[in-house]
Amino acid sequence: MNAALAVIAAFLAFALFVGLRARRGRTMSLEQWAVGGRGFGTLLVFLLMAGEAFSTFTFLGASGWAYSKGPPAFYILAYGALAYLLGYWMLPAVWRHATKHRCVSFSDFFATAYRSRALGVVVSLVAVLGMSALLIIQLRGLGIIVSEASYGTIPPTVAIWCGAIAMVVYITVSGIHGSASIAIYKDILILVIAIFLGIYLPLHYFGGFGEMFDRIEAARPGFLQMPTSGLTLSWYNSTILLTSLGYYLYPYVFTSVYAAKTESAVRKNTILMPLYQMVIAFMFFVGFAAILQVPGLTGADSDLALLRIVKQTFSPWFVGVIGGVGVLTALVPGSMILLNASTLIAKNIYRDGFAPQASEAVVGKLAKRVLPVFGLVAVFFVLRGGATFVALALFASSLLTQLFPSFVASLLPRPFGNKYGAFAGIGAGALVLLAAVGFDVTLRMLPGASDTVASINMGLVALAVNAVTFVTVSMLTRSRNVDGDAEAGLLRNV
Amino acid sequence: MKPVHCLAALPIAAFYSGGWLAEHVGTRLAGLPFLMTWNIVWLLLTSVVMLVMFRFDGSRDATRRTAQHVASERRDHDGAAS
Repeated sequence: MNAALAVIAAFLAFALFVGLRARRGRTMSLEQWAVGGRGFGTLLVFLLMAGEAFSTFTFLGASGWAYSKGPPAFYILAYGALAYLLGYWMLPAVWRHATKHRCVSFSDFFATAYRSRALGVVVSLVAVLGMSALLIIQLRGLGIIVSEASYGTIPPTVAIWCGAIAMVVYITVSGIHGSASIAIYKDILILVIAIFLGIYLPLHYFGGFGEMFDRIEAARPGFLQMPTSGLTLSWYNSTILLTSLGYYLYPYVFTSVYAAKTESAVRKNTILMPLYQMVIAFMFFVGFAAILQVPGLTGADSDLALLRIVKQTFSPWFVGVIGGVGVLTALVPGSMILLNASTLIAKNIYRDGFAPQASEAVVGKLAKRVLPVFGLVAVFFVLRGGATFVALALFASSLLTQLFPSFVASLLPRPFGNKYGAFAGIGAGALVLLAAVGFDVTLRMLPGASDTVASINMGLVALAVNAVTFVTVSMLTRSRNVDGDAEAGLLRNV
Repeated sequence: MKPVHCLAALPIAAFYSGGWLAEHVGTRLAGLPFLMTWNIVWLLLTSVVMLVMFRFDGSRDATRRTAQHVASERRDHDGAAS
């Protein structure tokens, strides 16, 4: 047993302890379990949202993107800021709507805004599938981090089992409180580690940031410019737009808004988030430092850039600390996904779809039983590969962004649209996505398409088709327009 | 929508012009890739913009009103319970 292994194990045990203790003195109704009884202040909401937004992707993905792709990676900084700017108006409106209608899950929002249980069920199905993809990604990341940081002593399979079991245990017992308590430690740690690595590595290996980029430029001329094919400037701009619009439509990010005590807790949170996004800039520095220090990682291996350069630079106990923080970055969002998916299955698919008379207590109990099963299914697909399922789940997660038109229309000062429009729009967007993902349809097929047009993100095209369909169908079926929630409107107070 | 909300246009314009500027103005800024420095600076300024909006758009007062409302409701509730 090496030092790294002991440190990682200690981190996992600590997370489990903190997560279990978070229950203290609370009776767990469904509302308390899923959204913390709507009693979280600015700081806890911030930690929860940051906890979800900065997952293993921040840890491995951001540095890996800088390492393998260079400037296109900077889209992450831009879309985050724009998403929070949108959130300044959107999130308080979501909070008002959710509090008024006592929403607990993601699809409660859509079901109440469009007064359609059917829409709620469809949104839940997409959301559950989409979240399985995200959970699979978190677990896979967890496996990579632990097996690398333990110098191969722990195989990814064992790490994935341990991580998944810990999550299931503390979330079943403490619900959202478990996630929030662990998020506190995780956020402080990742902040300290990211800033330290992002500053130390360029200074240690290159003597400075400018020098580091000079040497990268000399070794790989043109790498620090936006590519002229593939991930071009128009890919960059269209992806910023698509991802910033879709940012809050991931169920577990969305529902952490519900946990807030006041509207201003939500709004202050959107003001703080861009500052926290700076963590990613430091992760980029780590990725750039790795380009010349641990060259030759290609494809999926570029995600290992951070861990490889850390192992090359530091002694095992410190590698263990970084591995341990990596475990926490998977646990927090992973557990929030489990919590949300099981609430959706119990409340919005089971009760709304099949058993409208089921009581709150029954639904709460069912959610806690579904949770380990969902976790087990995710572990199964991570370990078995299951390419078809994973492809389907990834498809569903990109489909979540397609909820944007019906989402934002329901928040307008004078709400627009109805459930027919919502169904048609989401369906049309799904068809375009399906064509793009399943049959490789791209804008290059348009007659006379230039590179600029051809590299526009297809998700954005799907979103445009979706929006047009939503508006058209809603206008055609106007007489049956019964929706909206003017009181929750986007600009009510401002 | 209050006039102060027009400030939100600044970060949007900045993030969408960043890529173009990087291609036309220069590839490096303050030693880092141009787009990286640009996006970092505008991340910070986005927070500042939102802070200014929050300070001057009346949502702070609205919050205080809700807080008082909630507090008084709670008092009523406690009163009924005791």
